[in-house]
Amino acid sequence: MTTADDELRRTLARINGRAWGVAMGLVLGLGLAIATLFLVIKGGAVVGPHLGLLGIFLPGYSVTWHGALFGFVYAFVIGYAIGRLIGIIYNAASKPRHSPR
Amino acid sequence: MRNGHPDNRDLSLPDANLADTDGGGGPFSVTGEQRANNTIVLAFAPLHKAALGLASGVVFASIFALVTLADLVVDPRQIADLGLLAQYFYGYSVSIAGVFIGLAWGFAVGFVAGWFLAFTRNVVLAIWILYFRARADWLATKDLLDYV
Repeated sequence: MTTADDELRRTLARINGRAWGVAMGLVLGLGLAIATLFLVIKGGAVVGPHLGLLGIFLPGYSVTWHGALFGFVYAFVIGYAIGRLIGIIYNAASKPRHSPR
Repeated sequence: MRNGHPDNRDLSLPDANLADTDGGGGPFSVTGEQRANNTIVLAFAPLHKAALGLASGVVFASIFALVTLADLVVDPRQIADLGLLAQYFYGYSVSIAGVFIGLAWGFAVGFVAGWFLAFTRNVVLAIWILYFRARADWLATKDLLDYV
């Protein structure tokens, strides 16, 4: 095994908190927006009675066109916070193994 | 450098931002090749499975507990019946005790999810590196017979 192989095994990647935040935010935001829009386009007598319950936790959210926008913003902010927190905790937890010697 | 051979380069500088800080070469100087090597090593570095598990576990547990607390406060009539989560998480309920049970379940589920995410990512990356190495080796030796 070469030195590079050994180093590759021992070195651990740091997480970019901002990138994880944006990625998680987009996944959650687009997920909720697409789920909302799917139900709105599908239509029916009662549109999205179960997804609409999210409005209890996210004031202003509803299964409507503008609710999809609200939901995207809410979920993006929550996802960003989750990604950022994971990045901070991960980097702190794995620090001793990749800090500069 | 440990010796002159390129395969024995000293890659013990994990920080890709390290530079020739003393400015005049000397024992602490880092060549461009070493910097490039360090950057490549970091780009393909594996994720720490337990650390990612811990990070996602803490975040999932916090979310589970906060949502339960929020449901107790803003939805006392239980319109959004979060108690249905007990179908999957044994012992969970929308109550003060449920906050702590949700905390434990959230950490367990988050830890497993984060651990497997890191594991899968590392395996995929390792297969990818193996493929490109094998391909590079093949490209380097495919015209070997032309020289025989």
